[in-house]
Amino acid sequence: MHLVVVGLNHRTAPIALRERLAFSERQIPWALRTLLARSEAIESVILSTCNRIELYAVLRHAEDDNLLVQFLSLEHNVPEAEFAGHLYRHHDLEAVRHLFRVSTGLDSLVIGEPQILRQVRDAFAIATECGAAGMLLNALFRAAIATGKRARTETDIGRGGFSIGHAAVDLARSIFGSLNGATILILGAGKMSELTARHLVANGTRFVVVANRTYEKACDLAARLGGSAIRYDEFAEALALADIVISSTSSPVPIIHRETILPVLRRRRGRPLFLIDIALPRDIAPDVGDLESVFLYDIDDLEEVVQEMARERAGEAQRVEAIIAEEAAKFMTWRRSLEAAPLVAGIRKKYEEIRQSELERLRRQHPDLPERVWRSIERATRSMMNRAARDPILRLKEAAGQEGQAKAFDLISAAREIFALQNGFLEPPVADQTVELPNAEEEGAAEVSPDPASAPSCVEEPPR
Amino acid sequence: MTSAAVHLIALALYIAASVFYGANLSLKVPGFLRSARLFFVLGLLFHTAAIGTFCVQVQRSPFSSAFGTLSIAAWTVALLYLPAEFFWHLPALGTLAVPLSSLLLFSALLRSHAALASDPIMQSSSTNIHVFLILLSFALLSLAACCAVFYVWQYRLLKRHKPSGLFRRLPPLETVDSIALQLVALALPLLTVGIALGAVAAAGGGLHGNWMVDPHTIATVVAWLVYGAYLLMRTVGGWRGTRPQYLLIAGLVVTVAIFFIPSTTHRFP
Repeated sequence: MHLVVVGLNHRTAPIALRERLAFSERQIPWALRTLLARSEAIESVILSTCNRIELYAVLRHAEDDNLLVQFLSLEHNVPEAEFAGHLYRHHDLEAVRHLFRVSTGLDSLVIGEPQILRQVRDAFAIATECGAAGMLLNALFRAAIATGKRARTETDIGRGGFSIGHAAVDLARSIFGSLNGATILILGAGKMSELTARHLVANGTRFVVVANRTYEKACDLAARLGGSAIRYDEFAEALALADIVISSTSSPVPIIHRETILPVLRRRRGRPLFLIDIALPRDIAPDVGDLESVFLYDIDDLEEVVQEMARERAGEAQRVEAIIAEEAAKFMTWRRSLEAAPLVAGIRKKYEEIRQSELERLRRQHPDLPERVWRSIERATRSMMNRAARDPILRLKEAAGQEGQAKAFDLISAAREIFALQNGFLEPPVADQTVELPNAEEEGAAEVSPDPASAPSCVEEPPR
Repeated sequence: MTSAAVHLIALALYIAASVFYGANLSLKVPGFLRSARLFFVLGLLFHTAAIGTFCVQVQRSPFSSAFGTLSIAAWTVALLYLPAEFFWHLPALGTLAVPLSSLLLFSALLRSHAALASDPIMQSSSTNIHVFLILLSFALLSLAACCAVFYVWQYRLLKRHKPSGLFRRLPPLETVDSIALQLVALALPLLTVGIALGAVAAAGGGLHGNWMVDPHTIATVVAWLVYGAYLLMRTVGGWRGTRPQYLLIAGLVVTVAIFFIPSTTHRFP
């Protein structure tokens, strides 16, 4: 059995091609069943997002990966020649490493973005639900999810803002600590304001006030955010109550000046004020940022924060690669043990069968021997067989634990030949069989949801 | 084992903790914070044992010598940092508080052979309470000054408009500002009682010379005035931002500087 991944992503294929080969969530269960109807495929998971389409499969033979390419072509009615050159193919250890890079966010368009982990979980859940993920892919995807979580816990790969909204939250937290008691004032009921405010609300801010030239639009946005609306000409009064101001009006000139803010600061008694100006042209005069306890960030400043965090995350890539190498090695050790364990059991069983057969023959030839003699013969033959099997079994167990995969598999294949145990390996069990996973995190495993209704959404577009 | 040796072990543990706290702030490697906490707690335990050993060895109040007084000063800073670490969840403060404690302990060890005062006034409970309260209040004010340092640091990073990722690891402005206020609010009553006890003892003839112009007395009164003004302006005057933080820092620096001027009356044979 071989682990294989065939796919294309944002680096290898343009969006025009990816969208022709993408699977919708409704299509995936049917596609998995179609794929597994082929005898060469034993297990399969399909990961299809905005930025990648990947088929993970357990195949009887490594060269059967062409089956996956044919499958893609037939499912989407796209000639192979049009996309074959954009594909990547990985086998066994490289396939494991690839999936781990995906789940940790190293392979993402925005390094470290968190959505991919959920998308990997969802893909696994769908495959589990329809019985397409067997023992090997079950273990692999659980390990991938655990590795993704570990990388995000032990490194900063997932920290920091991925968008302007995230950056705003990070900055607000650095000023106010908890956002639970903070009040947001939104000037201008536009899309960017709403998006930024949603991030803040999602992180604990409870009080939202919206002001817009068109009062009805202010009311609509306030309703969506769970806040209240005020008339546009009342916003100066509302400034004194706001801790965070998000301004994105279509005014051609600044609407907030030093003179607007000075009385606000007196009323706020020096409490910090965070101003987010995402309008173009700017709504807030730049010299407002020079005032004591006022933190003014325009769209360039926020993007710089996002870029700075992206650079820091990129710097974490090496540490994540080390985690991936470690987890991939653990997974492959476990996988080799799968090969070795049944072989060891097979050898023991074979020796025992030989011993029992010879004992039976002896009993027929010497039926009058006393029972105590038979017990001695039993003990002697058992000891003889154990000693004969001891060294081969030890060597096989050592080989299963070795790093050098090729050598281990050679030894195991040779042992299979020597002991004539061609069928001494596990057949994939049914999908609901639980598997002992090396270093699996129970939380990660428990969070796998079999609900395919949750639609994996695209990664938020990176800031311009 | 002598108390100086146990003190030395405590100092080594504090220094190790300081290194790990600093590394945790700058590198955020998992395990650094755990190591920092482990070394710090061990250091505090050894320090406590060291003070106990010293008291047993000299059979006198630890304030009978400069060594003992400075050791207690270091110990109170470390002891008061403990709730900040586990109650306020402010491990970044360890980057300053634990080195401060280390510095005080190092200063103490430099004076480990200082003569012990045998003047009976040093054995009276009111004197010991007076000194302990002063040290306790200074420890609280030191931690408040550490909070102020972080406030100023974070404030400047955020004002730059292009902050490095460090802003995410420094404590939030409102958090350190609030903690500094609480620390000063705790320190001032202790300082007041400490000063009062000292004044009563001095007025009763416990000090030789004009204790009112003694640098130690002046330092303590200056601290009382500065931090009293801070508390008043912060609570009643609504004073916020960087200026109160500068006052916290400057107040401590000036007070400590005056304190190191040799005393004219706090000398006990």
